[in-house]
Amino acid sequence: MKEKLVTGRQKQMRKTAPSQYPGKTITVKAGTKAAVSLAEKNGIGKIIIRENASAEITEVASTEGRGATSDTPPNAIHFELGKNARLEYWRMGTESKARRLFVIGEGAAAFTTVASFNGGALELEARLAGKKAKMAHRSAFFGKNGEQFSFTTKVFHEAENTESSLLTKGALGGKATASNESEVRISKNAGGSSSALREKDIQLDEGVASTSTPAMFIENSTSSATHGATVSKIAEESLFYIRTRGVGLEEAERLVLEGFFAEIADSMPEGLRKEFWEKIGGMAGVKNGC
Amino acid sequence: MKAPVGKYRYGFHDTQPQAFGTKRGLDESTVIEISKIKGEPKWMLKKRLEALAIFQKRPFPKWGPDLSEIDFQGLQYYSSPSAEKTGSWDEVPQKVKETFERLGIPEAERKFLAGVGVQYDSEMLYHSLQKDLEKKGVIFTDMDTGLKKYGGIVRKHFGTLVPASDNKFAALNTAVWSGGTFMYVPKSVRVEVPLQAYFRINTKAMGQFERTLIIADEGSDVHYVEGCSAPIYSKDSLHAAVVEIFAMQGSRVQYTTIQNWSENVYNLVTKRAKAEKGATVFWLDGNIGSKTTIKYPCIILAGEGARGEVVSVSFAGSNQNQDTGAKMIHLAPNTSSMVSARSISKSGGIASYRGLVHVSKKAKGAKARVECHGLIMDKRSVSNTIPKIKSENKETEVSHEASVSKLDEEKLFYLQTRGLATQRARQLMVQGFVEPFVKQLPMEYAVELNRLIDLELEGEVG
Repeated sequence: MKEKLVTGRQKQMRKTAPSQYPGKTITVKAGTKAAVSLAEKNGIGKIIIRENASAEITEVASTEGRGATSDTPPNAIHFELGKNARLEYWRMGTESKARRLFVIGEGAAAFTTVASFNGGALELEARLAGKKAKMAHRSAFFGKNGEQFSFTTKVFHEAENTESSLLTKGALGGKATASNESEVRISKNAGGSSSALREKDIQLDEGVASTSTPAMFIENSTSSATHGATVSKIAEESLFYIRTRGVGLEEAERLVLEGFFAEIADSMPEGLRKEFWEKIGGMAGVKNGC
Repeated sequence: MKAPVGKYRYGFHDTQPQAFGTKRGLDESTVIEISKIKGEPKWMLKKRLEALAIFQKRPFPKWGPDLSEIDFQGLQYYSSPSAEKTGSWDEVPQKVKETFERLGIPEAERKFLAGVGVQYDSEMLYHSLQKDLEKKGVIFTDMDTGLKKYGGIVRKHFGTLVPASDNKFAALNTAVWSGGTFMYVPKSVRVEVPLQAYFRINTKAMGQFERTLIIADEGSDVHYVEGCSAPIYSKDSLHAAVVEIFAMQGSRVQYTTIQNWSENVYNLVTKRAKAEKGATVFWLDGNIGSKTTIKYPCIILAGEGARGEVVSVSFAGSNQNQDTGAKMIHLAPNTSSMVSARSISKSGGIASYRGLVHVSKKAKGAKARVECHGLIMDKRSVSNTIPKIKSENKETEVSHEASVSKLDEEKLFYLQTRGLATQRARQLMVQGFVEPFVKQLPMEYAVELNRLIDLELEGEVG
């Protein structure tokens, strides 16, 4: 795998990366399949998925991180995908401070889905280091009661014909706040690459605040990148349509939110999806912070 | 006069001697000297000195283009070719007159402008305004005259939208400002044809720091156009302007800039407008020239139903860094804003869109839309998009969309099958790309901009 790093900042990142991910290493051997369940406190620092191997990793974050301060080291895991490896990763997070790094080799693909509740901070970084490496990331968050979310998502296209797609959907009620910083960089060496970033936030109540910075840095003319971001209240037309079918307001709002989050929930395995909908359903009645 | 250098046809300079210039470098004595030349009131000198202290203390921005090569002590902060300002073109010094004639300003004035101001280095040398507008109470003059004749209005507004503490270069401008436009349009007066100011740097390693204040009173309507150019020298010049626009209730202000500085000019400007109830501010911002531009026109939507729009285009060629964008601050209910930004980067140029949409708690029913599109013409060039959206109100609709891509090969092929040479087809496609900007320009400027784009793409092999 030929890696060319472009910026000084990236070099710095690479140099410091290993020390930021302390803990045990799990290896999925070449050509094998594995399914792994993780909890935040199990001390895993690195997961290696060798050539032609595939892994399904489910992580249900505990509430151990509750009350984490800026001094608390984040729960950090470094994923390394060898040639043509495949990773499906689902994370259901509660309040915590977490960092996830994905280094994706030639022809390898990472499909990641993150659902966040109760606030917290998540730093996610993907390095598409080998030719034709792929990353598809979906993130959903639902905030209430003054909860604070902070998401930093960075994708570095470092090799030719790499692809990334990022989708974030969030709903905020009850004075919750969210900060979403995304960064996509396509380096000079990443000809033929493409990136698409979409972000949609729904604001359910007065007093919520949402900040997003979907940045793109493109250094290659044979690549293309798009992004779109919207912030709005819940779609009134949809609410009206459902209510004309005899559905009450609260139920109508829940249904609209279900529709809103469906494209993220659909990528989850069944057990996790059920848990996700339970949380959304339970939270749809949280309007006005009650 | 020397012949134009390369493709940049405004790169010539003339040999007009300076009537007066400060010594190179900047300290308190420079600021005191500028203020003394202008015979200013004490409050302005006090503001200048306070601003100088801010400039000296404030570090360079940690983001954006590299500014470390600016030699502040090597610059000349004030240079004047003539001691007199005039309302008669005949009284302008001959060499200066030749320069502006070569730039086409008198011709434009005759053909399609209601008034013209021309600034040469630090001073506005000439101002004219159609008589009927004068009778209606429109004031269109240079900022120094504005301060002398309308001191009360200037004192009330100066630095209230862009205080010296806003950023390092706003502080520098406040400390050493000279020239610029002072404009007041009375209540319900509609200025049907544009008023134009043209800024020219002639002296080598010069700093031009014009200060513009525009007040459009209730229900008025005005279109202000600004053009600029400079000679090509081996040493860099600095242009750090500050523009403050007050659009009162129900007024409409259009501000059009075609920035075409030569590629040895750092263009670091702060431009801000405040729109009161029902007012509209429309900003057309074209950035073609300069070595480095940092410019994010900002509209503060302060009154209910105020509307702001920025349509911009930037062109980053070899050794150029265009860091441009727009800021929309929604502070009142039912305000709306629209940003449409397009950039082209080629021959190693860097074009960045950097913007902010902020919808505050009080801006119920606000709507904001941002569209930015970048075109990269070759493998050496860079296109960045760094938008920020901050929404603190539930009853809002904010959307942002952006794309970066190369010229569409299918469309290029289609044009070629119609018999167009590759270069002409590429020029046409780039012209189509900047069409949303060009179609808003007065015809004469639209023609000039298309010509500039053709020139920039000349000899391009793709």
